[in-house]
Amino acid sequence: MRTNPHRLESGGRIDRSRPLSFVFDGRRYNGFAGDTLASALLANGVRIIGRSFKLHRPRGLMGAWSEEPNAIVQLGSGATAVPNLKATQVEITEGLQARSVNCWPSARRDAFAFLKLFGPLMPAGFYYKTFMWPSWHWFEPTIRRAAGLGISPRVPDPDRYEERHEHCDVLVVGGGPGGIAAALAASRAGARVVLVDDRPVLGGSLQWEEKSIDGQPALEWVAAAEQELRASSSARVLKRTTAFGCYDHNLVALSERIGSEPAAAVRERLWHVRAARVVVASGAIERPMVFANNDVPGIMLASAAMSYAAQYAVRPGRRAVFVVSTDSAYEAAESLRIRGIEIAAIVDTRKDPGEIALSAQRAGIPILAGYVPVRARGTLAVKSIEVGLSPANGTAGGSARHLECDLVCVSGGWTPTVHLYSQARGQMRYDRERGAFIPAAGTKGFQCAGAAAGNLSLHQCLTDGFAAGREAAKAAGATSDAGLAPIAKAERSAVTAFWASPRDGHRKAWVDFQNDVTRGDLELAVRENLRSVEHIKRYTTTGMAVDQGKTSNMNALGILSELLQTSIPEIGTTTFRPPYDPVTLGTLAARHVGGLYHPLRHTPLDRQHAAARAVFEDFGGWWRPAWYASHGRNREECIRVEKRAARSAVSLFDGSPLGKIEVRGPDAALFLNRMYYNTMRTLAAGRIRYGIMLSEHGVIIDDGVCIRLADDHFLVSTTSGGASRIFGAFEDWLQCEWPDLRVLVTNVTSAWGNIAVAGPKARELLSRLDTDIDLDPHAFPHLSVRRGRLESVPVRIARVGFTGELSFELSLPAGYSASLWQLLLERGSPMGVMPIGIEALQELRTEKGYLHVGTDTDGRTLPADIGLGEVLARKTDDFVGRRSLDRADAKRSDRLQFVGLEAHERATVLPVGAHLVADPKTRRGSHGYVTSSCMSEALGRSVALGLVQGGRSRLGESVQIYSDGRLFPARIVSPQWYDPKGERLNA
Amino acid sequence: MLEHRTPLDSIRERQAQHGPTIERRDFHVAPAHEKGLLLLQSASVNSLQEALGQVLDLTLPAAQQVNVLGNYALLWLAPAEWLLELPRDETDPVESALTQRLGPSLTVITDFSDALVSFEVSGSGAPETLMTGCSLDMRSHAFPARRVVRTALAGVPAILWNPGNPDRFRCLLDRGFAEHFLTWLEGTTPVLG
Amino acid sequence: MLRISCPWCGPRDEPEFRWGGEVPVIRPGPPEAVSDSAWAEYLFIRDNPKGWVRERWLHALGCRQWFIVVRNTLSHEIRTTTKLGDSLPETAP
Repeated sequence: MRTNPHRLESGGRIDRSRPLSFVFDGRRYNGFAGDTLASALLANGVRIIGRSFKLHRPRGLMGAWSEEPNAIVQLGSGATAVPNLKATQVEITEGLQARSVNCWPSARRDAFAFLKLFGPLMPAGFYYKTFMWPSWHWFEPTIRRAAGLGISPRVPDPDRYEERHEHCDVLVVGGGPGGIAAALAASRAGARVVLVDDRPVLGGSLQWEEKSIDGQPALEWVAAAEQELRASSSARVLKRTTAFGCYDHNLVALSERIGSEPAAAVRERLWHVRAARVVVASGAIERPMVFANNDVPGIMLASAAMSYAAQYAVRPGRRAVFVVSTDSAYEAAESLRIRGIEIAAIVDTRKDPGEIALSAQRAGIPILAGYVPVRARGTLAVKSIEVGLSPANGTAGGSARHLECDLVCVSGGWTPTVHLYSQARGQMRYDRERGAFIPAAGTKGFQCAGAAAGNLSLHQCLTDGFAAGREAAKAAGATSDAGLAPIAKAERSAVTAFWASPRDGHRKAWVDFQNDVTRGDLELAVRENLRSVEHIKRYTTTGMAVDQGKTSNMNALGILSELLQTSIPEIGTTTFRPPYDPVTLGTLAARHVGGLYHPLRHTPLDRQHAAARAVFEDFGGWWRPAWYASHGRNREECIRVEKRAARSAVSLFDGSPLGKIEVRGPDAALFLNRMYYNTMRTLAAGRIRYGIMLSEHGVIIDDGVCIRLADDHFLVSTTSGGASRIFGAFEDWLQCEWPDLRVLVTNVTSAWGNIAVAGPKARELLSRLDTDIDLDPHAFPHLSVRRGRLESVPVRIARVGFTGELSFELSLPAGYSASLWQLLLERGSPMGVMPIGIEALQELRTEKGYLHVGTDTDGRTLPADIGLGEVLARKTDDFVGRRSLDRADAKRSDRLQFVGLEAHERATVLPVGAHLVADPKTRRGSHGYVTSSCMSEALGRSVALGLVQGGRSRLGESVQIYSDGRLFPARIVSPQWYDPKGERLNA
Repeated sequence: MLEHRTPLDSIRERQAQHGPTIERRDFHVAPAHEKGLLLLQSASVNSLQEALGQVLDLTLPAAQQVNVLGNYALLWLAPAEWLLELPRDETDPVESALTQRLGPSLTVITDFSDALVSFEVSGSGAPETLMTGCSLDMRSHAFPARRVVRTALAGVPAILWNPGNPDRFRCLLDRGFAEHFLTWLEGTTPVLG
Repeated sequence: MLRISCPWCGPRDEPEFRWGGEVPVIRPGPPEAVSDSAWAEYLFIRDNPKGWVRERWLHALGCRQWFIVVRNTLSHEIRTTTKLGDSLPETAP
């Protein structure tokens, strides 16, 4: 077992009694429980953790948590692989497998490293320019392979993900000092509180800063606060949980990481939190500085270096140079110094850093005030840094100092983490002194507190956080007294924003480390006359993608301000987009995968279909039999057998999903007359009429039969997929347009089972059942309805069907339909009864020339296009869509019209979707297309339906139908092939 | 004679044979006792109120409320719509009795006994479990006894109501989603602690 | 995701609702008296303002009632919701 050469002898918040081993880029290392992958790698002396996005430059750790732009890793392999995590946020577990991304075979020895030689070929927007000839698409696959992040798994994720809705008075985002204070105040005031933090432990920066709160060590205060919140039944504390997005009306999405162990029941949970008030105490992110070669491994944020040393007991280097413009970095230097790291110098870009520099000097640290970084030296690791007097104090480099070191800690200022606040459309104002955009008050129900609001000292964070929590609770209606805010020692935390050193010749100086954007790229964008910051962002990609500009945005703005000679507030900020940190797709999908993705309705005959080995498919949200595998050896044979039973014996079809809407009331007839294209006012009680319904645009949206059970009682049947849509349309018109109509509508689709008994022996089969309904054709003709009893159960029988055969639709309470189905199968067995699926039904109706709305009509089909034009002339009343039928376009003679099509070859089934070509020679231009098609045993030939330009006046015309390189000669015909006189139907 | 079956019968048979799919001390989901359901829609609330009072001594509940009396529960569904839960064998007689007293007023009664299925969800973990698939706050401070809502649960439309005890819910949903609903609820992993 | 307060059921999440467009839209008639342009206006032409707008929404997964929402299309703020029968609220506060 290798030891950790860079681990400090003592200290840190790691558990030294629990060593863990893990693998990075194929090599085994050791760390301790409490380590992140980043801290453990650093403890092992691994400095190069990734390769840059475009140029494949070696990159090391810059940050210690979510601000990290460089150390992107992929965890695991196969189905459970997770790409694009930051090594700084990955807690190590025993046996963890990690590898760097965007490099091969490893980050240290990357075969693509030669790409950096081609840097000049890849300026901002290079893919718009360099790779344009002969075509970008020619280069794209190679470039995408060379530039990119992790690799998505190619097999389904076996892990489980969960989701949870939550409601609270106050949501506090961030478990640092400000957030804890806010949560305590809100909870004590009596509000329901959720406190969320993305780290495994609460405390935020208190984990590495040694401070006191209320006279006790800060971490003891944190522990007590956590205990207090956990003890409250109205507070919830969520750790390892990232608030990644804020959406309208205070909906905040959280992703909670629960278990990476294979045994964990759930890997991650998605929370939808609806909060009356949100307090964002997400802290602030320290800024790097822009100078030549500022991306060499070993250059890191001062706060990160302090975190590695104090929280993880890792020595980030042996000899450090601090390059700073903040007071806070002096604290970091001191923290490193007392842990045995030599501080070569603190280079402060401020001419007069004040007392804080003097006290550092007294501790023996050399101070270079008024100096700026010029360039870093080193390729795989930083070897030294050159600094010079800042231009304000002379010429940079003019009085160059060369400082040997293996660690450069930078601190160019602090940027409040306002991502969520910005997503919530919070307004920001620019604070010149701090060089940062700070939330300006005013977003409804949403406020920032602590460092996120620009307060950099602990004391301010506590006071501000507590006040924010108290205010939020009050605004949410809580009334108790929150008491007094916690206090800490007042301290100075001055900042003088520093963005970038003067350009150092042609040397590259990085602004956005993750997207490989340099100062030169920004200069180029400005030279090419891009002015809007939103355009420059997209052109250069600065601040985009996974990183969302955490460390880069302000530096980019600072540089642009110089280049454009415009103040930063005038340039403005770009909009932050969710997610704040990457979220796994598994979490977003949560449980909505597989069978739970799109719940399907099952019919009351589900078990009967399964017993007959039905092949089920999703038809309009219903899980229905397409065909029955028990009927033959293969799909075609099964469908053929089913059709034969329907044509020559008797078939059963489960029509339960057919939409059934009861329309009752004195104005029912008047109402339906307005809803249907067809006249329904004149329909006699006990009779049935086929009808179509239109949208206000005149387009056919549904069809079905309308049954008049009594003068004031109708039953409307819709297509299976149209039930809720048509019911919704009824409610809409009744509530919003005709509230004066005395009509009540009820969707009874699920209450009734429906079995269609069709075929020449249908009556014979029904006569073998006990019923009080007279089935005689004279007493009970086609298109009529009877109510009565069947086997002692109330039933409604309608003489309608979709097959073209003698047909009875039996409707009865859904609970009895399975038993009736069994009985029909038993009694019908001697006459060859057979259940038929959707496929057989579709072919049967195609032979009959019946159209199916949505299959044989499209989003433009009007009634006249399907041959129902004359109905309009006979109807005088207004109805939905009527006025649209009177437009010139509705009366064009070359509209697509519904017709039959016959292939010249009787055995050829025309492909559905194939077009009638206008010019068979060039195969160009379309005169319409095939919509339904099948082989008909009953007709002894293939038949098809289609929509053809002016088709109804072209009957008999020969046409060429084109599909997949072949031409099929065919003829336009009337689709009434089967039983044109309706003798079988009316039998 | 035809046999009457609901999707809940299949679930009961399966559970009798194999036991429930999950065993959790804090949460139970089971088919509710089979009841009759009558959907009442009325454009004339007074006459419906009168008829209900005469036949069942029930009053119409206010919005989002349930009135419970013995074996009867009357659920508010919409401004002019209620659902009456009653013993199954009383469905037909009550429907006729109500119809008789309603006279010519515009009120319609529809037998929904076979349209919906009812599950009973209970236990201290019930609100947590429901909140995995429902955007409403189901905890007792937000969802008191005798409250009823129509919403989406487990991705399908549902009627949720509390018959009187905390941590005890009834879920009514389309019979076609019965198996889906059970699969969803039994597969949840609620927040622990 | 919007939080919309149904006048009957109280605040619910947006997926329970369906949007129905701006109001008022007057359906012209009788059909023979309506010009092509008036009909096109009714079908397609809306103000689509940047700012406050009156819309109708349906509580589709709840009480199935249509109602009126006064919403800001820029901020998504909802000022008020009212029942259909009530007088139409003003867009200006």
